[in-house]
Amino acid sequence: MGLGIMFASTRIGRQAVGLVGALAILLLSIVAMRASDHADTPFMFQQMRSDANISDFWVFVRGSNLVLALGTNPSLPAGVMEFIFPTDVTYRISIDRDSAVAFKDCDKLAAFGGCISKPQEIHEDIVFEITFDDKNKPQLRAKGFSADAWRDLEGRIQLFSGPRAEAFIFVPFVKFNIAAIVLEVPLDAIRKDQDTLLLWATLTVETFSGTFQDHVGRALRSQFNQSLNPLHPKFHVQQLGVPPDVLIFNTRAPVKFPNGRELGDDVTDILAEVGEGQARAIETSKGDRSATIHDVKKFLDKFPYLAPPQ
Amino acid sequence: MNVSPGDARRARFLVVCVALILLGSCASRGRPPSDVDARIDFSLKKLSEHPRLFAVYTQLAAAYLDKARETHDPTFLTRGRDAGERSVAIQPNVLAFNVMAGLCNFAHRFECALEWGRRAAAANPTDTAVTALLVEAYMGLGRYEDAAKLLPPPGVKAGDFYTAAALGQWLASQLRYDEAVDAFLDAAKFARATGASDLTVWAEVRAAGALLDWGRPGPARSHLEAAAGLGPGNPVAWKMLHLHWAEFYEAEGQLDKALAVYEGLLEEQEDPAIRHKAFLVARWLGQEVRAHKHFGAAEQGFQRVIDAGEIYTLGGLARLYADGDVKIEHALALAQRNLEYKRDIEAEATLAYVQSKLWVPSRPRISRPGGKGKRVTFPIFQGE
Repeated sequence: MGLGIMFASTRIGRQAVGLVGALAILLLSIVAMRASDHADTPFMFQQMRSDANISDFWVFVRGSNLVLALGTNPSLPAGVMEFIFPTDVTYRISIDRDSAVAFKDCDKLAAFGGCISKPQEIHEDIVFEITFDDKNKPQLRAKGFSADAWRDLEGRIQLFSGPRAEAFIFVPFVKFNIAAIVLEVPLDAIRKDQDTLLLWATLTVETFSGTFQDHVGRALRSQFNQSLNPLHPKFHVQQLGVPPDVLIFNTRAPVKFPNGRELGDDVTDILAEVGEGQARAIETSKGDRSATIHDVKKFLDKFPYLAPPQ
Repeated sequence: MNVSPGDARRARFLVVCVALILLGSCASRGRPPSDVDARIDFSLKKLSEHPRLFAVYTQLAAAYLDKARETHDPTFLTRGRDAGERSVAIQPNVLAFNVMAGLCNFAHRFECALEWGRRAAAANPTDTAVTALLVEAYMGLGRYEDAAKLLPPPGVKAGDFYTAAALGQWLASQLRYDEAVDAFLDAAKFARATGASDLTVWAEVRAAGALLDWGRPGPARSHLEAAAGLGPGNPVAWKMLHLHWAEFYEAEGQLDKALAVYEGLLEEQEDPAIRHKAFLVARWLGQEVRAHKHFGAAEQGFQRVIDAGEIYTLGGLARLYADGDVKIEHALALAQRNLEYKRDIEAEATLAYVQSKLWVPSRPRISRPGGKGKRVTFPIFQGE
């Protein structure tokens, strides 16, 4: 047949091949990442909305204040000193301050921080809602306060938004940055009739279907069970047969995961020790790349507590 | 009514073609719908309301890249680059680096792909998909040893889809087809494990492609059938599968079937590279009018890309002219220019092929490492 067929027969299909590979790359590469709440929404990654992804949620106390820190957009490259938050996303931090939680005779204490007596009644007493305008300024609104109470409280809230050094203790991530939102509020304005709070955070993208697209409660939950993401925590037991994905925080007890989550709590270590298989798998995957608190950039003694971007 | 022998032959041919298409054993069956226009529209609408959504600019860039792949309209590459650069200007981000590397690789601007790929790798060193992009770029530049440094050492299996895919590509470039097939089948296993059927199709088809390049169409068939069994899926994967079926038929000497597949694909979407293949096959079948039509369309398609300032069809047009034994001086200039950007074995072979038409003796034969430590001469010289 001659040189023509020898030559022409080789490459046409193979040319197309590299292109398919590149296409596929874009869809799957991010889904392969792992962490506390990272990359647990394949839909969002298929939509390439890495900017609309919650990576972590910390809840701790400083003095008489409650600090709520949300990590988003994981794997922000090192060297990035500014982050343009998406203007079509609403971040919500929800607090249930009167659901009963048992600590004695609770088989979930070590892994979940307590046993919620009536999970189907979990509800938002307070919601902090953060959006960003086209000048990248955060807009804070709150539900669950009277007008007077909010007027009194608003001036005492500190709000930070911007890139911060990654704080999740996991070697593959420790050199990156996150886009953080940190809120510090007087604890007494949040607590009401009991000391224990249930907290969770969600993210909603305009025009996407569903009330919210990403959810975080306790670390390493929706990461391994993505069905948790689009469902309100009150439905988690009923529909999925799993404990509700909220962070339980007894404000009178020391903050140590799973009772709240202090910066520096190595959640994979802690959960692996109490026998959570998936945490153990992450621990195993660390291999000789185990990270400790000393691998992450040192936290600050003052607001916003997360380290500056690296 | 009197029917000439030629008319009768053409009529029979048409009946056969239609039958093949209807039987659809591998002929184009109607490609799956593409969602790329919807993605572009969605992104543009979103950006009109939220002009600083860097992630949506990345989304748009990726959609334009897909549109360029599907339509071979180079204007979408320009739009893709603009969207990707806009994304990075608003907010440096890993996904945009990846997309830009992919755009550059598609456009055969491999130095550019290396730059973006390195930025992506620095931002996310564990991302093996970025590694695959870098391997593609290095190979495009003929830097096979640099590509090999990113891959598992000999005897070590790849640990994920992208590494396996990149390893397969590299091994195939080194004519180590048996190992390439193994690597692609490893990639298929990884893809199956995650339920990614399009990637499984890709990997099975690549395995078939390596076998076809090896001169073993028989075993290639089972991989093509495995891929076909996964359903139509993504339009690019679908097209790739059908192209390989056509090449399988060519390898088996079933040129009628091959031409039917190529022409079926062309009915779905114009593609100068497929036009080129159809030209060759039609010519081998002695169908000069048909061949001429395909040649003209291929030339037009390749030239359109070059007229738009792109360079990724330089080699294709050079080969077309050489295959058609026309405009050989121009083909030489195209092949030489192609080598400024693409310095792999294929680009070298294109130049050598064109030169052979001119009987220019100055370049040595191309030889490169083959399997098991042997050096092999590139196949195009076997006929000399």
